[in-house]
Amino acid sequence: MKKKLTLQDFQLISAYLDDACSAKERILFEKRLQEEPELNQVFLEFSHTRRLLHAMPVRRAPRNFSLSPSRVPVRPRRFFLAPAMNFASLAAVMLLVVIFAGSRLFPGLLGSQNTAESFSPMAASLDSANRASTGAPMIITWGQSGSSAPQATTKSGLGGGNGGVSSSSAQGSNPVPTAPPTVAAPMPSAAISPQVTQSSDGSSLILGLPAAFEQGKIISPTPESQPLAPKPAVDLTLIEIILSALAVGCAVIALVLRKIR
Amino acid sequence: MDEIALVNAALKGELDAFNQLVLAYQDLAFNVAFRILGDDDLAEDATQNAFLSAYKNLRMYRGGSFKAWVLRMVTNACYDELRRKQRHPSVPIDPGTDDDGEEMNSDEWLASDDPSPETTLEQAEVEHALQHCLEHLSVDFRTVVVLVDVQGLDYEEVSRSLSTPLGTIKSRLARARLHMRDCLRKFEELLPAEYRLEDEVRE
Repeated sequence: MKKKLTLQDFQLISAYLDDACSAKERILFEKRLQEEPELNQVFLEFSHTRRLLHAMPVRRAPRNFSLSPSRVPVRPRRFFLAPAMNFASLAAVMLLVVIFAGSRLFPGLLGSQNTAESFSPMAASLDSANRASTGAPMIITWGQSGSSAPQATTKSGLGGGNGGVSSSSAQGSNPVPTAPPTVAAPMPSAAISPQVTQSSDGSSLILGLPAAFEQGKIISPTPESQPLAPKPAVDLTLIEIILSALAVGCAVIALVLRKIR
Repeated sequence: MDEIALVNAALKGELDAFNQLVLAYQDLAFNVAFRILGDDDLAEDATQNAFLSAYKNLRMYRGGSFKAWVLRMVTNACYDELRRKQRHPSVPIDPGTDDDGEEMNSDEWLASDDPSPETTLEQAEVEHALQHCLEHLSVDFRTVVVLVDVQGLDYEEVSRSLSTPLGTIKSRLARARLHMRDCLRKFEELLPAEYRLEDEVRE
């Protein structure tokens, strides 16, 4: 009875012919060759086919296949600076985008709130309120003589030191406007009593009673109250300009290096 | 010949260095291309394209057997030529008529009908029969047979050249040899005595 050979048998025959099977497989296969005439016949046919193929004449190249410079694209010379310029340009652009987005789109991200704050009326009023609570109101000395003007300054707007005359709106917790109040020019008059005026934005202004030599003077805000509109620590616009120039410059250098061959 | 040094020089733009590699492998490349394609002109085109592609993609060479890498370029170029041939099949100008053999209508027979001076008639007949059988294999089987049995590469080299697993190479080779055996049976009367199978098998 003939035993039908499988694909594994054919693979084993091929591997045996090419000396590509293990020692164990080789021993088993040689044993099978002795016992199975069908396997032996296919083995001989494969061996014969292989020998025929290996005997095929070698076709030599009919011509020289060497490449000529005219047929070959010139391989560009690589400058070590070119990739560095590429990277620098890319990095500058990315930084520019980040800073631009941070300063323009998300102003709170990069500490640029100081810049925005200086242009915002609401922010200004909030700052004034903060300043009032910390004891730095704008005080305009006015009216009668007395020694309470300095006291008014130190009392943080609690009535201006005129004999306890105060107003509920003059409490330290109320906001004080940063803009000058719309009051008339200083008029020295003993008839005028200290009063608290309301500014247009609803905040209060404290009018104190100055000494005689101080009457009619406008006391400027204290140095502590100067950071009303503080400058930003770093000029972001300048950084943006520098980064833009860097990105363009690096990109141009990279392009020039790429063109040079 | 220090192949790595030549490759490095070629990478720096020295075309002469690459051409030394071309000279070293052009016979191998052309022979493989011819056995796969079965046509001199197509094999020339494939060989030239393979070397051009090798030069352009030299940076992709990651060491190892340069021969296997070149053969990958050659087989890829052959596949491209075969695809192109399938899209634009060529018609022989004079197909000819024969009285006794249908195979004479094949342009492959006509193309290889002129043996070189150093080739004997017997070898030519064997070659014709083998080439005919090769061309009746699928291109994947044909490539493996050409690389292993005609060129004598080992399985690992073929696996690297074709980027195909070793087991697939073994399987394809076994099937291809089986097909070749069946095909060559039709040509036994053409083969010289020393190439005849029946005497060996039926002894």
